[in-house]
Amino acid sequence: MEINVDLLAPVVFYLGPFPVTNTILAAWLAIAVLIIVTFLATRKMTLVPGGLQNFVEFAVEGMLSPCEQFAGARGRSFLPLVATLFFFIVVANWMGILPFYAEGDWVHPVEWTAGHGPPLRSANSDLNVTAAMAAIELFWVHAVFIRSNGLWGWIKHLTWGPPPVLELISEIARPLSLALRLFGNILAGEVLLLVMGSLVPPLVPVLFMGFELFVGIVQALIFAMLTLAFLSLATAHHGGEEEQHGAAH
Amino acid sequence: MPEMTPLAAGLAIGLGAIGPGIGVGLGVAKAMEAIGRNPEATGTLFLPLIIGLAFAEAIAIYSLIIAFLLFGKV
Repeated sequence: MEINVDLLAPVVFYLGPFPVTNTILAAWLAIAVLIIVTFLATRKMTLVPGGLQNFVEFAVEGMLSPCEQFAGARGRSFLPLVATLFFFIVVANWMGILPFYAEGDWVHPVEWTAGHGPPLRSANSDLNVTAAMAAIELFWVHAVFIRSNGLWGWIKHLTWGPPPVLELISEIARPLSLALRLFGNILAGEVLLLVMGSLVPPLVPVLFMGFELFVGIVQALIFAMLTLAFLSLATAHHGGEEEQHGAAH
Repeated sequence: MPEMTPLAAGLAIGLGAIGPGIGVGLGVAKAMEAIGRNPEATGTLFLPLIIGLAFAEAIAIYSLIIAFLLFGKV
C-alpha cells in the first residue's frame, strides 16, 4: 500500500479569504461538544449533584487538586487555563479516533487527492492547532511572570543569568517542545493505526485504538501539567512569599 | 542522491530512538524499584513518572517527525 505522509492539513472550504482545514473543523467540533456538555450539565444545577453535573464536577475537581497541590494558594487562579487545555486536548484526541475521522489524509490516496481531503481529521495532528495552544501558554506564563515579578524582574530574568540569555532560549524551547510533543504523538498514533489497519485488519487495530485512548489522555495531562508547572515557576520566583503559602496550605 | 532518502528516514528514527529508549528504561527501572521498596508510593509516583517519561519520549517523537518529513519526499 502506498503511504503518503503529508503533514499539511488539506483545505475543506474557504471562509472569505481564510482557508478552513479539516483539522480546524475537528477542533470546532471538539469545542462544540465541550460547550454542549457544559451547558447540559449546568442547566439545572442542584446542590447535591447527580448525573451529568456530578461527572463534570468530578472532572473539574480532578484538575483542581493538582493545581492546588503544585501551586499552593495561587493554584485556583491557574485552573481556567490548565483545565481548558486539558479538556480540549483530551476531547479532541478521543474524537480523533472515531470512525468518521480520517487517520491522516493518506488513508484513501485514490479518492482524496489535491484539495479534496477528508472532511475531518484529529485536531491535534496539525501543528497549527498545537502551536496555537503553546503560544497561548507562552503569553499567559509571561503575563503571570510580569504580574508577580514586575517588568524589570522579567527583563532581568530573561537576560541575566549565570550564563546570560540562556533563560531566554529555554523560554523559547518550552512552548516549542510542548507543541511538537503533542503533534508528534497524535500524528504517530494516526500512522500507527493506519499501519496496523493495513497489516492485520479486523481485531488487532482495536487494541491499538485502546492504546491511543490512553495516549490521548496522557498527552492532554502532560500538556496541562507542564503548563501548570511553568505557571508555578513564573510565580514562585524571587522571594519567599510562596513558601509561606505552601506551609499554610 | 534522492534514492538515499528512505535510508535517511530509517536512520533518523532508528538512531533517534536509542537515547529516549535508554532514558525511559532508566526512569521506569527506578520507579519500579521505588514501588518495590514502598508500594504505598505508587499513587504519588504515577504522575511525575508519566511526565518524566513524556520528556524522554518527546525526543523520539522529534526524530519521528523528521522521519515522516523525509519519508514524505520519497
